[in-house]
Amino acid sequence: MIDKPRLKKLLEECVKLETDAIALYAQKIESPAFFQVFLPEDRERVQKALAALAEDARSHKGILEAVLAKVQGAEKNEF
Amino acid sequence: MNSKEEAVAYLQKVLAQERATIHKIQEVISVVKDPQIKSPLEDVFRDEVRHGSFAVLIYSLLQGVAQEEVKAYVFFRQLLDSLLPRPGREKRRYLREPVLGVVRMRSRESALRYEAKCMDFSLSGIGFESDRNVPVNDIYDCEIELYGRPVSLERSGKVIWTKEVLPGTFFGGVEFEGV
Repeated sequence: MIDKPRLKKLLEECVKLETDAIALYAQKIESPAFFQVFLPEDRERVQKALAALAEDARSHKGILEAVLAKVQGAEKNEF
Repeated sequence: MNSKEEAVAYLQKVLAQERATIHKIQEVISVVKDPQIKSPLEDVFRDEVRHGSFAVLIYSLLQGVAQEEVKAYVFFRQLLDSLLPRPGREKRRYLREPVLGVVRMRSRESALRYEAKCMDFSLSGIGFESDRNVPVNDIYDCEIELYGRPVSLERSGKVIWTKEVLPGTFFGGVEFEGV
């Protein structure tokens, strides 16, 4: 079990990590020069892979924010 | 950015970011009992574990492969392909989901023990990721705990290849005995 303040803090840290991940992926997804270091047959798949990871990071951030809101709105103090 | 060294540095940041997230979410899961809170976190955790492995896989493409590693390279490519969503399928489902978990290995020759992450599992063997270089050609007794499976598996097999894909990060393959 964990109390509400501690859980809120941990979830906020998770949201920040996902926010940082989104920014990290965004640095290169739109940068064609980055993908030139890969073999020609791998470039498109690596670009799609990074785009999929970024999309998942955005989805995860939404999930974590929803969980955080649920915790904040709950009347109980133990989870 | 267009040099290989810069790309490597970037992918190492990605890997560090993914691992930090994996550990943080696992920290939350380990202390939460409420299933309505825990369940969505477990979904995110499974995705993050997969992300961490794929960051390493993408990096492995930068390293190129030696002739004897062609089979392993095919494995890398299949895993990378499996990341890409197929049209018409649910967003977080993949062509071929890697089977992830933990594998504890004990060498029959040296009795040394290793703990690694299982990246793929089939009837013939497993692919694993480890922070230690597991000796090749030794026979290992393996206890395999796959995420989401209540019972662990026990198999024995030979480590037939390893490769350092990042400083301190090794990929390897075990071929099970009797297959």
